[in-house]
Amino acid sequence: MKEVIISEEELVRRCIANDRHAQEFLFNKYYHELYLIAMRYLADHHNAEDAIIQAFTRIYKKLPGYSHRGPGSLGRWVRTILINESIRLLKRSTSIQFNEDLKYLEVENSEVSGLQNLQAADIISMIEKLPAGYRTVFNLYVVEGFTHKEIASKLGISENTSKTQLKKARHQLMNKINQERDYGTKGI
Amino acid sequence: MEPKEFDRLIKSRIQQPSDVYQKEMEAAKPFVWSAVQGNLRNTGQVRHWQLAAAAAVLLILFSLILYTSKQEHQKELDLVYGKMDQLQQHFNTQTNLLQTREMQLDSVASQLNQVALHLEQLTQRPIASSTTSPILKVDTVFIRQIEYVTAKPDPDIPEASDPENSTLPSSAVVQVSPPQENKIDHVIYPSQKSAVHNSKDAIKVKFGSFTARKD
Repeated sequence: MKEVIISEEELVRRCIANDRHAQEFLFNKYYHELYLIAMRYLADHHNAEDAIIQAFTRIYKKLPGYSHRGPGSLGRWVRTILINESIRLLKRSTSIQFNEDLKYLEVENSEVSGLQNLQAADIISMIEKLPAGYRTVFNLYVVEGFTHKEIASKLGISENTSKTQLKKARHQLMNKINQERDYGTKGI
Repeated sequence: MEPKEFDRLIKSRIQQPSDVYQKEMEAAKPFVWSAVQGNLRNTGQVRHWQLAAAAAVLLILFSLILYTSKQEHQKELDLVYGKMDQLQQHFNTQTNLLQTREMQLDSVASQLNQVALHLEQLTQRPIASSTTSPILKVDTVFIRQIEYVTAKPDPDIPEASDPENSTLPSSAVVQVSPPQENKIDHVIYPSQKSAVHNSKDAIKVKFGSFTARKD
C-alpha cells in the first residue's frame, strides 16, 4: 500500500473531519510508542491496553481544540495525554505508596559498568519491577523530563517526596543492574 | 557514577528502538482499535440518550412546576371566591337594612305630611277667640306751655342802679308759646269737658316729657 506522507496539521484536520483513514493512520503512528510508555508506568498489559483505549478516545475528542505548535508537537501532546491516563489508571487501580521514610539503601557498587551491555528490554523490565511510586517518579523525571515541582503537582505529593522516590528508584535500579552484571560474569 | 549520568544512560537505552512486547502489542491492536471506534460511536449515542434524558427530566420538572403553580393559583382563587361570597352576603344584609330604613323613612314622611295637612287645615279654620279689642278713646289734653325767657339787658342802655329809674319793665317777660300741634297737648278741665279745643280760656298744660317723649 502506498504510504501518503502528510503533515501533522493536515492529519489533524482530516481526523477532525471524521476521515476514518486519517484516524486509523494516527492510531497506527503512535500505538507502539504509547504501548511501551503505558507498560513503563503500569507494568501490566491489560492496564496498558485500557490506558491506550482511553487515551486515543480522549485524543480524538480533543483534536478540535488542539493547536499545532511546530513539528513534533502532536507527538508530545499525544504522549502527555497517555501519561495522564496512565497515572489516573494507576491511582484508581492500585494504591501508590509514596514512602517518605528514606531508609538508606546501600548501593553495593555505584559503578554501573555493565549498563551498556544491557538490552533495552532488560532495563524496561527492571523499571517495571520497581514499586509503583518509584517507577512513576522515575519515568516522569528521567524519561519525560518533568521537574520535581511538576511531578509533585501531578501526583499530589511534595517535592521532597518526589526527590526521595527518585533516589530510591535509582538505588534499586543500580542494585538490579549490578546483580545482572554479576550474574552474567558469574555465569562465565 | 553520577546520578545525572545514570539517568542519561537509562533514558538513551529506553528510547532505542526495540521489539519488546511486540507480540503482545500486535495481538492487542485490533481489540484496542475497535474499542476506540466503539467509544467514539457511543459518544454520539450517549449524547442522544443524555439529551433525551435531560429533555425528559426538564419536561417532568416543568410539569411539576406548572402543576404546583396551578395548585397555588387554585388555592388563591378559592380564597378570593370565599371572600367574595362573604362580601356578597354582607352586601345583601346591608341592602336589606337599607330597604328597611327606607320604608321607615317613607312612613315617617307620610306621617309628617299628614301632620302638615292637619296643621294647614287647622290654620285655615277660623278660631273663635275671646280676645277683646280695645276701643281707643283719645282724650286730648291741651296744655299751654309757659316758657320763661330771661331778657338780655341792652349793653347800650346803662344799668339802672335805681330801681325806680330803671327802664326795664317791671315784670318779667313771660312768653307763652302757642300750643304745638305735633305735641300731645293735654287739656285740663277742672270740672267739665269742653269740645272746644282751642278755647282761649283753656289752660294748656304740657305734662312732662314722660308722656310725650318717645325716647
